[in-house]
Amino acid sequence: MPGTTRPSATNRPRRQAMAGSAAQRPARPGSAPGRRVAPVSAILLVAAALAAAPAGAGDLRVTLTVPMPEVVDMTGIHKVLVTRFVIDQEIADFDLNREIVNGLRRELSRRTELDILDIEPPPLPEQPLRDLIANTGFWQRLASRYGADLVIAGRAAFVVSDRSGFVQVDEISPVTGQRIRTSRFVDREAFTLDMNLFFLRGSTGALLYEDQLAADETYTGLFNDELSGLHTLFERLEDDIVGIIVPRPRTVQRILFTD
Amino acid sequence: MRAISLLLIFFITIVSMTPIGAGEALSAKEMMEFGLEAAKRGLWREAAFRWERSLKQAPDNPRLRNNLAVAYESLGDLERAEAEYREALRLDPENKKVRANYDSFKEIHRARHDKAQRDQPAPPSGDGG
Repeated sequence: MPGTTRPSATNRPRRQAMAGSAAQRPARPGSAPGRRVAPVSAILLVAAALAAAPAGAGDLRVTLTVPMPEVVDMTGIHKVLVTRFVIDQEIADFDLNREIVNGLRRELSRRTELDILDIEPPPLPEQPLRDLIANTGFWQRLASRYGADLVIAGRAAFVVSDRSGFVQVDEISPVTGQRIRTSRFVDREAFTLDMNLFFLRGSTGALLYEDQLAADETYTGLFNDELSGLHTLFERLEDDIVGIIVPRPRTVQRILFTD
Repeated sequence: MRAISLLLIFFITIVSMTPIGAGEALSAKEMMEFGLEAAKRGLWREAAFRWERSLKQAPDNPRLRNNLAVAYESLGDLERAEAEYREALRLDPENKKVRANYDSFKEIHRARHDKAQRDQPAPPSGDGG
């Protein structure tokens, strides 16, 4: 739904939709004299007008919700195949590849009208990723085998790193009662998810678009649940991933001139 | 609440009978203000309507074209929004606020913008983006 306009308002006839504005407009020269406004209504209308006052002289800042178009031209694309991902380093506690591929397929199924092929993700040959992406014949054959219009492949890395260290904290001295700054050692660890995504056209095997996405989060303490951390980071990237192939709303600010 | 509704209906009736389309037209300035009031309430279709009418009286007003571009953008009419932003900048190339709006517009709609640029056989002038 583009803009902040509600459908019920926009679908009404123009003049009816303008009701609020007309009521609050200063009387135009030559407009009907002697209009009576009930005192309470008048106060409410004045209050509403003040709430919508311009932020600065000569211009007014407004917020719009605009549809952000998809990055990949999805014309003629219905069936999507998600392959296995190339994983930089396996994680001991869970299957990173399965988590990423399942998460990707789940979100694409949930948030698009596309037919996300529900099959065991085909493995990729052991070949440098760049060479593989350039191998259009491989992608074309793979897409043809599964009847896919679009193939999504990628690389993923999930890294746990120790970010423990000294931090400065302000506290009240129990002896003097004064605020003092001390250093304290704090255990912390960071989870980082780094992904490359490749979108390849099934009919030609050509690379349509590639993107690199990353997210990280630092937690207090050690031995935090890595799988939960992975899901948290993946959720943070979901909008960006889905936005590659479907339009999504985005809030933006614009300046209007008032004179 | 009912009193306010009745009051609004009364004003709708009054405004509906005002001279738009009749002999005495609202001035461009009044139309501009009318559009702003609509925009403040998110009534972008109404705002665009008012500013389109206003533009007929002041076609070389870059500020009006900027406002119209914003209204079109909010309505999802990106082709017309871009045309109005470009025209506003053509009329007032130094206007930083129009430039800021257009730069943000281009950034957000880059994919569509790039595609449009690719689809055009040749740009009319040396437009770097």
